[in-house]
Amino acid sequence: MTANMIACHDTTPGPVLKKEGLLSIGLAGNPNTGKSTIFNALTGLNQHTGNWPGKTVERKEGELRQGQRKARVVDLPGTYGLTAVSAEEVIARNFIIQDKPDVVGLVVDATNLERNLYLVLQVLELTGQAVIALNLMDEARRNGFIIDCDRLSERLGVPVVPMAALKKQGVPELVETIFTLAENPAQPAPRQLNYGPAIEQAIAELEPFLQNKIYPARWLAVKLLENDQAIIEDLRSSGNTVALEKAAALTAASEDSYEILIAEKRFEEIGQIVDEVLQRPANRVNLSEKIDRVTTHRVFGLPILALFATFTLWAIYNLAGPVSEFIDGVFQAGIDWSREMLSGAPWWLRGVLVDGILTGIQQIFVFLFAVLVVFFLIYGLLEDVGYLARGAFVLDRLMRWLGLPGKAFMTLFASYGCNIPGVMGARIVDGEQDRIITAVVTPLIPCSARIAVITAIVPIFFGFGWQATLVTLFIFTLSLVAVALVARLLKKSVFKNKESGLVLELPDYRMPSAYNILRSTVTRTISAMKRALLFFPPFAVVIWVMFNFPAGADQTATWGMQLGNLLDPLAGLIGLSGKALAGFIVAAPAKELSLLYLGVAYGGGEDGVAQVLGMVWSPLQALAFLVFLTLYAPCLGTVMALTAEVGKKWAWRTVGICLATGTLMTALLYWGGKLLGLG
Amino acid sequence: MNQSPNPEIIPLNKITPGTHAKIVGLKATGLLLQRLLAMGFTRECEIKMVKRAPLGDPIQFRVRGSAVSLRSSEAALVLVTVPYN
Repeated sequence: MTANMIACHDTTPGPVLKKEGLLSIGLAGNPNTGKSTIFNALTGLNQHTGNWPGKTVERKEGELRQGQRKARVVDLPGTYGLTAVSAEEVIARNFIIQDKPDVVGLVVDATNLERNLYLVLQVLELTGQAVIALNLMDEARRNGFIIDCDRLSERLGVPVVPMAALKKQGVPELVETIFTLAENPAQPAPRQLNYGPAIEQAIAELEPFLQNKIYPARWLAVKLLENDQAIIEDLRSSGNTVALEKAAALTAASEDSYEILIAEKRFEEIGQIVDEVLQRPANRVNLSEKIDRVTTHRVFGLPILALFATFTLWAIYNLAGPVSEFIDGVFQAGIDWSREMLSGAPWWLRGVLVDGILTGIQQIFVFLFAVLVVFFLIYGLLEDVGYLARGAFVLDRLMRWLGLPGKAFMTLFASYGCNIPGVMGARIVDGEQDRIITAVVTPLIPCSARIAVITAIVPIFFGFGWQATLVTLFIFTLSLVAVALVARLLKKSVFKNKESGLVLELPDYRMPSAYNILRSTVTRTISAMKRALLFFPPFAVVIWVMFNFPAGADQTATWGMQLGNLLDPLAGLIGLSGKALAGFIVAAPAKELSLLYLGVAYGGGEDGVAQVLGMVWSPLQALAFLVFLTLYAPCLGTVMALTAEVGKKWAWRTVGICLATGTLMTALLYWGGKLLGLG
Repeated sequence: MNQSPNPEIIPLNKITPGTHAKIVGLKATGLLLQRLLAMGFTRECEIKMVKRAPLGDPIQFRVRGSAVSLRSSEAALVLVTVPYN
């Protein structure tokens, strides 16, 4: 049976709004195909990131220019198919169907042709205006694959451009092909697949009931038979019960599952294409599998992962530290200069501007910036190389013990750098419930700001040697215990234990691209810094005001101190001092403020405060302070991220959950410690 | 090449590292089924069990040229035979 091309029904819906004269390109493809690399190569620095409207999926858009030609490029979420298993597939297909891009760029991994074509065939069922960017050709060649691109183009009916985007090969050709196709629409009919007599019959019976202005009826019929939940939901809410009932009847009457048959038919077609087009090497030597013998080794796998995690922490302290100090110095010069310049201005104005806002900004840069950069560099490297998927593979069992889905490991890893990208990372988790749980427990993980406070205070009370490390690890462990308790509790009580899945691809290891890593580091750092810088300075002003008003008052009589004294009895309940508790309230928006606050409340400034505390607190009190600090609240930036990721309701619930958890564990720790005679 | 006329059908999570198997049935449903299908887990497809994770779960397979890992509970929903070679 030769490949069939059924003339498609006329599927042109009404005109879609498009920017005048600006072509529109959609970039689709499987995850791990180098799609981002190609997107970056096409758009250069002309790109910006946001979210798809109403969704928590990242949207990247940029501009492609070649001489006078211009086009808008949208990076669609990476998907393995177009049937809805998550928001990603729906977003990708809706863009193709509703936005009607002039060209769809399909990024295909040449080393994985068979599975990649699954998505390709489905996209080609929707549009003939497509280009295949056959990427990773260098890898394919190295592995011994030989691909006949011309034949492939013939069989698919669309141009195929061989590429090795990381080596900058094929990019100009791709650009040229895209523009040529966009300017000379070939008007080919979308390439339909013949699903065999049984299914075609079912499709024919459903089509009359699925006529509409947006989606091709045939496509809807196929999706309906595939049990596509999003389509079913759409039909239900638009009242099309006839189609639903018909489909249910057809499915019940069928001996075999339509869902499975349709997928198999696609792979059958793919098999024929691949046989004609691909030559596999006689003995495939898979380098990745060899490397994996070590990285996912029964015995060594976990320790290796622990090694990477430890190295990351080490780098944050030892590499970010000096950079932070340098930044501190630079800012300090600027602050001193400002103070000079404003010496003629009223004292309170000087105070607000210099000691409040400028100092606040200094705090953010000193605490956050260098740590974020170091963390994102390492994270980006592991991600680019392909090791992160191995991490998820090795840790999945542990994650489930924590009550979290396997992919959440990546979220937790990010959270130790900063909770904000951690929360944002929850979007890679499959399933709404699991995504929420992952996002909600993220603030219980100490971010670099809290780690900075911990590392400033622990040595004062526990010495600088191995005791400090032990105590720090203890605090980290407590936070993980909190995560496990909260996640499991949420799963049981609110989400009624719905099981999540782990179908995880382990991509081949790739040579990392310095450009990609630097690029993603810059993007992520700016994104996190933006949130911090936006909300931090006002609160720094608040602190300054609290400790300098009433005007002319003695140090012990300021509002800040009064608040501290007021809270003493309450704070004592969990082993904290009133001042510390006031500090927590003040530092809730951004933990970097804690040291600033303590520095003012206890004297000594944030550099000397640790010493001062050493004389005023007991080790147990210090520990209680640090545990409470770690758990009690998401910073303002994190709350913003939570609102964007899981909605306002859950964002505020998270605040409450963290406060409750922090209070409980601190109390347990403090009183337990006292009981054991340790305080 | 000897092949037993009725090779035993076993769930995918029961085969041992290094074994090549052929999928003969899928008991998975809903989103899990769709994910499996999109990854290439279809009937008649040959797959290879590579290894188990250090903690015993999940399991790594080689399917249609790429490495995919499934939890034991998920693999249990895929039925395979192990043809003698």
